[in-house]
Amino acid sequence: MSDLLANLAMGFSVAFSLKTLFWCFVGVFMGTFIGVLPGIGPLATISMLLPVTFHLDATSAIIMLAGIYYGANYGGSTASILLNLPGTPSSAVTCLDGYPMAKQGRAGVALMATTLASFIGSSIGILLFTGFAPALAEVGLKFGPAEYFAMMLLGLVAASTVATGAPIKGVAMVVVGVALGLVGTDVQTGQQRFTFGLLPLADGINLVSLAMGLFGIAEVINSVGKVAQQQSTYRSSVLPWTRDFWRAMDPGRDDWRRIPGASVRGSAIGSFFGALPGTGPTISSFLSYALEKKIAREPKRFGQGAIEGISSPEAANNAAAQTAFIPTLTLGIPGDVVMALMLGALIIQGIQPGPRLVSEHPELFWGLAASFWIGNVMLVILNLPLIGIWVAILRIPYSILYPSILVFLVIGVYSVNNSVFDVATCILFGVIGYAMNIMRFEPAPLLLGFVLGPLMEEHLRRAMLLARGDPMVFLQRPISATFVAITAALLLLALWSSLRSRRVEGFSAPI
Amino acid sequence: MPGAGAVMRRIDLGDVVGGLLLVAFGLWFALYALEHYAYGTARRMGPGYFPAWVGFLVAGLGSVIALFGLLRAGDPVFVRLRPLLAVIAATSIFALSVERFGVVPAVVALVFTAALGESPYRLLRTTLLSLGLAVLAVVLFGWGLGIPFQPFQWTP
Repeated sequence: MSDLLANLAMGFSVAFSLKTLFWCFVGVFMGTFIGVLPGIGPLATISMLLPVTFHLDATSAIIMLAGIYYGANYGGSTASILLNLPGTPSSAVTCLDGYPMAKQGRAGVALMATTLASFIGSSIGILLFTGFAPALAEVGLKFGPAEYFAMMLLGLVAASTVATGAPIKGVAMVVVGVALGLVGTDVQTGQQRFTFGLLPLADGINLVSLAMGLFGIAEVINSVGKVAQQQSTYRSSVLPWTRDFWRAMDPGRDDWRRIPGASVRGSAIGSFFGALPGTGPTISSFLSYALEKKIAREPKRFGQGAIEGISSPEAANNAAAQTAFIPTLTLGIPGDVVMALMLGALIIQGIQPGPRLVSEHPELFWGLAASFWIGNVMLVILNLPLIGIWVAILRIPYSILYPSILVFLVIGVYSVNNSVFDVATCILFGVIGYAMNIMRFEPAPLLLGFVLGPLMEEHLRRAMLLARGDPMVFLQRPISATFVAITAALLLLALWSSLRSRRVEGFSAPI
Repeated sequence: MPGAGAVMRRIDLGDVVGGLLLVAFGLWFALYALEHYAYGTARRMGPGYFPAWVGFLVAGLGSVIALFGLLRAGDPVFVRLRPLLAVIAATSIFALSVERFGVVPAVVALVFTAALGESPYRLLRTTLLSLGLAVLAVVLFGWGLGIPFQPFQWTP
């Protein structure tokens, strides 16, 4: 316990340095900004800012990127409530009761409730992160290559089958991602694979080009001419120093009582599913809404502005956004595609996420944990007194937004290696991403496979070498056998659901 | 998204085409790996071992997707050509001009081309936006982050 306190104290000393505070603020500010804006989400933003992080030290970089991720969850609910249009997929369910509240003139109340719930969810998620991550790292130290390979397999299969609309297509995209990840120099033999004599491909396909193409350019092509300017329903005073401003946010006694319970239930669901591979903020928010509706005394209130219907999902998606860092940092297994980008950012900085990260880079790990608290406090300030700013931002027309996005995108890609080749790669993947979009193949699993593919090959080769070429090794070691069994069960489930019928389409909100 | 009244195709065209493309890509990937890189053994895998299996797996999954796609109806497939071409053209012009003419002309050209993706064409707004973004690019990325591109240059 005293260890934990000492570590946290060290973390806060890192996080309170002026430089780190600045990047933390940049992260949560950008996160709220893009969370509020429909049509651009955390994934596109993180890939856009990835090149910027190369100019920072690893701790500032990860703190900023993390801030974007959890900040987007705060901002996402604002667009859901005011426009009935989710700013991020994880806030889609908040529309169901948030928008009716806004139409009843209770938008301020809804914003207050979601901000409070988000803060409660994040706090619980951070506590679990600081408590469990070091313990999980201890377990991870005992893993050999066979366990790692099996765990990555499970992570990829879970992420591509559980969260997506069509499981087989998800798995196929993961494997395509693995294939693309193999381009470049083979680390064991030095053999150049699939480079076709092109020098820039010797280091592999640039992660930034791939991510920005699939998510940035493809998303812009998809949204041009479709995203219409929105009219906000928020009519209250936007000045935080007036009494009207705060009065508009007072939920009243009945609703005050409902927020804490719903938030805690949502946090529990979010914390659990956030830490699992394949499920994350989006699924957590949907599950917690379903739970609230089930246990409510008057389920009829849901859909007409029930405050539990926004508190619980917002607590859930924020808790999940925090606990998602547990497996990413301690095992090196990203649960979703945003975490895969974080992993990529760390690897580019020369830091290999895994069980040794906590002991080898304590300032990074504990600094990040401390920055979560600071960032969340900043977010409460950004989202309550400054709500007027975000309401104004909702009025930026897309015809101004998308050329700006394209400019930042191409300059960002160019700046990684000062390379026109990278920009060309990015455009190519933009076209591929748009084609995938048309044919309803999801790009997120592809990126996940791309990041994990080379690691999987390495662990597979090492495991097979140790086992003298006997593939049964994956079934003989108990931990790895468990992972393989769960993977097989998920695949059977996916096959069955594909055979049965078309499943409900995935959540196709901005990524 | 088409409404409920839209005519449904008898097959899921997106899945069939996408699946067949995956088959082609997977087979090519696997055969290329087998032909050019050492396969090795299961114990000592060569650089061709893993890619070959990954390629065949892609092809296998692609054929299953295409097959399922043949057996059920799907939503019609739309290609929105105008935004597609505008965005490709805009980003390509940037790529071709940034090292020849400098970042300011590259950004301005990008913004003017990208604006073709939507109608009506707003000349004043586009002009102001392009100039603002060009200044931002020079100040923020050039001076701020030290990316070595010139505001203007002439090396066609």
